[in-house]
Amino acid sequence: MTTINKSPTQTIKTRFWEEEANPDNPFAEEACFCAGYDVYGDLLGKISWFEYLYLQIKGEKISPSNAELFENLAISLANPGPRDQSVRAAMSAGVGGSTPASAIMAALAVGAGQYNGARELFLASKMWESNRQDLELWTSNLRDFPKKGKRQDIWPEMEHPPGFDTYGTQCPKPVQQILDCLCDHTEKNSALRWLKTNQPALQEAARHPISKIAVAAAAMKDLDFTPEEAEMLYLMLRLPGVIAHTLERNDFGWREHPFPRDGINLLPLEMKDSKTI
Amino acid sequence: MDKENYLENFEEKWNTHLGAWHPGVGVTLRGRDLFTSKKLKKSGWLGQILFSLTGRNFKSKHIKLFSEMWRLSTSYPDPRIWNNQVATLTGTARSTPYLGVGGAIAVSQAEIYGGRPFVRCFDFLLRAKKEIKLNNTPLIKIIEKELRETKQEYGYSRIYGFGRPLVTGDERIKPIRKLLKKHKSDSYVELAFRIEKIVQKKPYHLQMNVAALLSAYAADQELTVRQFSTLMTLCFTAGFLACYQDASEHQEGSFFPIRCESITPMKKNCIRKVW
Repeated sequence: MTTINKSPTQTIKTRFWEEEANPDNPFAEEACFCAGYDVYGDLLGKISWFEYLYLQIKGEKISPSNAELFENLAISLANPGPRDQSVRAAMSAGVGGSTPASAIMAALAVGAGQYNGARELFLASKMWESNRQDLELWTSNLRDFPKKGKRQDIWPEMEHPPGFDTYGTQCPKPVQQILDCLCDHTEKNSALRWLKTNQPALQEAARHPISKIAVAAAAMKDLDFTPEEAEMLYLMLRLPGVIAHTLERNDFGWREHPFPRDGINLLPLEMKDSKTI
Repeated sequence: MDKENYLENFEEKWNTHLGAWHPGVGVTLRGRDLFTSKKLKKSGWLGQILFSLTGRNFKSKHIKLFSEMWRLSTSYPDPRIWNNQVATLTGTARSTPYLGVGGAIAVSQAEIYGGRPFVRCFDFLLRAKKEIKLNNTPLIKIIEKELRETKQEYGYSRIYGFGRPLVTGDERIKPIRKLLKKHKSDSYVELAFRIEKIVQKKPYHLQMNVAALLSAYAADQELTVRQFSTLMTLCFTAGFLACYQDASEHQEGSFFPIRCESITPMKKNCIRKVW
């Protein structure tokens, strides 16, 4: 017996999670329930990872076709590649032998941003909320971009329309392949199919090709994820590649990692105040 | 387990000497009023951190020396340095500075620089001095033993605080040596210089790096290894802030972009096949 009997005064309110305590230890669980289902006595062994993830976020079962869509979306996001900024940040950790958690923290910090990051996906998802499947609304908002916000916030102003590739000249083949594949897992009136049909008009209005973010935002819409849910999921779903590339860096070490020795070009300073030197 | 260690004992109360916010009234820090204490005001921000960690007052000259050593040695504004890269990439990817600095601090607890060398060097200096004091062991023997034991434990021989990746020699040693010129002959700083004299020569050829002096000085100020490890989490932040801000003022995504052909796969693992 390791405990003293006592009732709690601090509580955590939750929509979907419940725990039954071990009779001998109120700090050890005897059973856990997710949206009413016994996780370790019922779900474990029956449920797929994506079904469980959806259950936790939405509190309900995902349909089989949506589970396939979710899984294929996750595969398409799973490895952004070693050229992606978030993966590079994690590799910086791997190169120096930093802790594993720090590599993931670094990837999340960078991958949270508005250039190919989770915040860009959030904003693209918000556009789906406001524009729905109204092509005129989409194209006029894209042509009017950027609209200056009235107030400053922790996020800087977007410098390109969310979901569009700021440096692209044409839609990269993998993005098209992802869009085609995910469309096969959706109904006729889905956001993904709408995106595919109207891709040329959207790209012309934005003056840029669509990026993976546009496809991900449409997929998240079809899975009924809110922009906030989409943003958090995106952060997590890109981590497998982060892990793989970081582990590889651990093996290769710093000698095999790029370090542009002559890469800094120090520009002459404009002296704004000669007294402050 | 003893009843006093049951988790229930801590469910409602966090017992601490550290301090608290008293909503609407004020803040106490180790018995001092944060807003009115003359000692806290005099100590400045870094002195307050040292007081928070240790519960001890530090003289102004020692606080200034910690600050100056950090300014010189761990605040480089170069975006290529591995931990600075995290802050830089955060800026170029248009994420927030809080995230960037947090991620960069985490990465700074690395094997070949930063957090781990700080702790291991500090620990080695303490053990070395203890061994000399208790058993009068010659320093060369202590160094040889450390090299043997690190080889067994880590798979490589190392005297942390000596040797450096990317470059031989440490440009920071000269200016920091000047700051520490008044160190005592029985100090950890002096011990670090004595170690350097030995490992500079054959067969080691190792130059002191700044971790040795940062660790030695902190040991002379009687920080524990854990207090020192905690303190040093902040030391690189000046460089992080600068690199983040600079990248955020450049075009988005423009920090050394990498083209596809830069990826060079190992052929034997990457033969094309179908699933």
